[in-house]
Amino acid sequence: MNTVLYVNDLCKTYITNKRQNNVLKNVNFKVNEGEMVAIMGPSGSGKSTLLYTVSGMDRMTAGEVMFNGRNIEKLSDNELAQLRLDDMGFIFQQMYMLKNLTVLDNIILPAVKSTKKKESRAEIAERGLKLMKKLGIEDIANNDINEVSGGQLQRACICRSMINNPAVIFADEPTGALNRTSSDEVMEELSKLNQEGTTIMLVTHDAKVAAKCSRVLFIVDGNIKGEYNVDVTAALRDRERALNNWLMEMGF
Amino acid sequence: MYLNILKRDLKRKKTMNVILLIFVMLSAMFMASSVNNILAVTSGLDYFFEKADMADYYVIAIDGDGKKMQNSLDNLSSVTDYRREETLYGSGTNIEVKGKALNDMNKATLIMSVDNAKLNYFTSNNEKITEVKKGKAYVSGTFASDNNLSVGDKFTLVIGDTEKEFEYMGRAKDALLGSEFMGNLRFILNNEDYEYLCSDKEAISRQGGTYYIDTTDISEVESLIGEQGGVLLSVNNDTIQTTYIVSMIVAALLLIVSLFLIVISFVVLKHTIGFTIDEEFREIGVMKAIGMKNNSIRALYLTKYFAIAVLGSALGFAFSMPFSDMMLNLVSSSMYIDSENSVMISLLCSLAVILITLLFCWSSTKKIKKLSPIDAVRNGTTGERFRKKSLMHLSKSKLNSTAFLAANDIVSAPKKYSIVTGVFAMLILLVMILANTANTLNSEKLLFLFGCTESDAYVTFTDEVMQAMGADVDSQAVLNETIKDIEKTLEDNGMPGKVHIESTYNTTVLTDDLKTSVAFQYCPDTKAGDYTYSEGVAPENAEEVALSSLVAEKLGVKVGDTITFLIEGEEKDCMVTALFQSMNQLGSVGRLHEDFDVSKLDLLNAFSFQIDFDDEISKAECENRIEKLKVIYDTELVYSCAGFVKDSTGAADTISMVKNMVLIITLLVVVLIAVLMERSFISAEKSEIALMKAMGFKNKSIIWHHTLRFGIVAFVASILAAIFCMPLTKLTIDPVFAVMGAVRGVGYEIVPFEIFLMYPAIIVAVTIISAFFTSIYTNTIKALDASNIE
Repeated sequence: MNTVLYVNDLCKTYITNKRQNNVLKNVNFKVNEGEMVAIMGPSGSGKSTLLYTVSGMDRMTAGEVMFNGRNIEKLSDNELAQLRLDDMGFIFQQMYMLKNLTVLDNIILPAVKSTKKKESRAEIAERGLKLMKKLGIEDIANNDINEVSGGQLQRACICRSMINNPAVIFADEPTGALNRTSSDEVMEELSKLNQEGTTIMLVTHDAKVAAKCSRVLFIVDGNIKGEYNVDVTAALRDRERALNNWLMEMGF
Repeated sequence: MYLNILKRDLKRKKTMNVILLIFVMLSAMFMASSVNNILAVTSGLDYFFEKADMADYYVIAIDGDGKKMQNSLDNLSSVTDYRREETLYGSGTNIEVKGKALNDMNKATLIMSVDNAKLNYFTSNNEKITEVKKGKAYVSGTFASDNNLSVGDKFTLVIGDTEKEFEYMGRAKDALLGSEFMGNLRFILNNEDYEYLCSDKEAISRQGGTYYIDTTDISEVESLIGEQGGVLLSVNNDTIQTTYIVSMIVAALLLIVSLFLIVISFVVLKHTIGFTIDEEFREIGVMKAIGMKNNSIRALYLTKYFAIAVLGSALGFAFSMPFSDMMLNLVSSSMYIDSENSVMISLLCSLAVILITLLFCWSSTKKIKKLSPIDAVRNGTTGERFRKKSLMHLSKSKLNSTAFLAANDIVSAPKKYSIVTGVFAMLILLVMILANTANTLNSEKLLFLFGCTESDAYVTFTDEVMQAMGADVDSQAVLNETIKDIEKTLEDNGMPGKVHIESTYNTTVLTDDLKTSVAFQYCPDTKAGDYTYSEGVAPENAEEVALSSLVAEKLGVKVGDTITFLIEGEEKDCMVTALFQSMNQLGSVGRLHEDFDVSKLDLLNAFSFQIDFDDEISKAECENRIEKLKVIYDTELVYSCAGFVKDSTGAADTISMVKNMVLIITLLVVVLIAVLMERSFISAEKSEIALMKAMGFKNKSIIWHHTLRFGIVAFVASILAAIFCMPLTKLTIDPVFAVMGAVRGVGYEIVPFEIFLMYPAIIVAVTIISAFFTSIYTNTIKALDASNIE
């Protein structure tokens, strides 16, 4: 299986008020194509920093991150932007969308911007609608973003992250702002996408969410303290129980 | 607690607070300076005349020691007081600048001693001139600017064989002769220098006096002056006021600019306050959620805006002084403008701005009452809203993503962008209106005010006209000789044409109650029907005349009445068939029919010799021929029709100067508004910018998105300005031209390239450049910010 993300001795240090804060300390891991990896850890452990640093949203202090064989540290800001546009998808905890666009227009905007494929605007819109249909929100395509629920909006965000067929979707607490029902629905969709071959890396506090992933990285104080391979063949409840036990062992 | 919340708010929302502070400051600055200007220019002339100690009636006469005139005035019961200023008369030939006599200057010149001054004259700093040192001189009018002289430069006055070099001390503000329209120069010298010039034997024939007469009956004085000899000018106070037409036009334009600036600054201030308060809704929601009452929340914001308003107004107050002075300098070069109460006025305006800011704040926070806590939170910066806004659809649009986003932003927030568009449209209109005014003053459109027909070229020969004015001379015969000479010269130089000249004859007119002297225009080579009249029909025979409204008023006659000419003892009745507006003879003139016998009348003056070339020629060829005529006659006094009007009004250059200054002010305001608006938009759209970057939008793309929004706004503003240009020009400038006599309005000279292309293009370009450089600030917003936006 191809490695899409290779992280070697990744360090990230913030200087705040002349004080050095080492958020990530020599982090090493890799993500293979088709995997769904959860990053867990206590608050302030560096989960989100790790996600944003390996996705090139933030610059690393030291180390190496290879994304599909490209060293992202060596890419310029414009090259990184192009990489995010064409090969990465992002889902945030808050369902950020451009307020002046309809849900469909928000979803297809990255595809319109991208030069990866030569498609007409109608073809892009059709693809956007297909994605929406797949996630069960096709009826809100022409709605403004204030007219839909949080769960629908987050699913629209997933559609947006998918529109350019990215190599990896990075999700930061994708269910953090949702109620349990919506959260389950969103995770169901992400799992389906993963089963269809999309690589996903997500940050979560929620063991129930992490149990739907194939692997869990546990991070404490900027170090990966442990790695847990989820038995994806087991029933969800069993997976969750086993994961919780492991997390307790890790001191979570 | 209030203080703590306030302190944290001021610190945390530094950018928006600073932007608001700047807009409050601009409002205070524009309002204080504009109100000062309005008050100064509207009371300006009365104040100047009062300071100068002007009288009711003025006479300038070459009357030697003036004994005859003084005796007459002493015996006139209606004269309550009069002052006589001893004066030497000269012309351009008596002045040498840089070794060359000003032969082309066709203005009468007065030379006087400061010790004989019977009027208060002021320096450019509004200090009364009480002393002039030996060898130095103050000069009124545009002497320095016409001859490129600066303070300290030298010039020479020559009377007969006596000459003396003087150092130019600066422009004297002269209420009687200092207006651009009067154009006469007055040299104010030291008494010893004046006596030295008077010692020449030629001075005897040049001596006379300027009389400042206070009277209870102006018509009685007019009748008396009509019987005196050597009178060069006799005019009442109202007429002198009309000679300040250029200053009044500038003042009126300044008033329009000031009103525009006040409106713009308050529109922008209101928008910014509403905008910043909208940004606070989430916090307002939280405050409501924790149980704070509506009035407490509003009081909190009022406290914050009060603090900003006080600071902004204080800064605006400080900046209004130099700004006001800069604008008033345009009017005050020839006038003593009152700015004594400017500090108090500025202070009151600054206080008014504080009050208005608080009122705007109070009105903008009104909706707090209507919202539930959750509404307020949801209506905050999350981008959520409760009405459909998406009018454009990316999926159906043919625009690229950047252009689509820019256009979509505008149609999605019509109120926000229509305010910006409206403000830009007003600024563009301001420049367009002034440009239309300047171009009209510089065109043949105002020719009718000078009682001339349109010709290809206008040549001024002062000497030939002077010869025609001599006593016992057949004036028309002399003028006809010159006309023949010019026609021959034209023929010899391969540009044959017909020549004619407008002459002005002075004659005595009798009505039932009055006997007075009136100047009449006459030209045997044109038809009375060729001229423009505001009322009635053109005279059709020698027994019919037309009068300017001013003369008709003075004589107490109207269309259909009869006036009587008294010519060498014989009376001749003529019917008044028409009235017209004129700027000739300070508006006091009539027109005779071409068949009227003028042989027994005194030629007062003649205008330019008007040339109509026989062949149809292009404008460029006409200009070529004008240049050729300048060489043939060795004079600069050859004009095109537009040039003739420009020279006659004397206002075009001043108005152009005002236009250029307003263009600079406009561009500064455009830059300020574009920068501050864009900066406030960036602040409000930080989350969206970060999101777009996270999605993979490059910095360049976001900068263009933001820049394009302002480009579209400025472009739409230009179109709106172009649509409203003519109606608003007519609305605002017609009253200005009405003051000049064009009571029925004028046809404006519209230069399409300048009005519809050049100025809008400049303003659109400046807007785009300002927005572009401001939007570079979006580079500081990182994709990562999408993860931690509040």
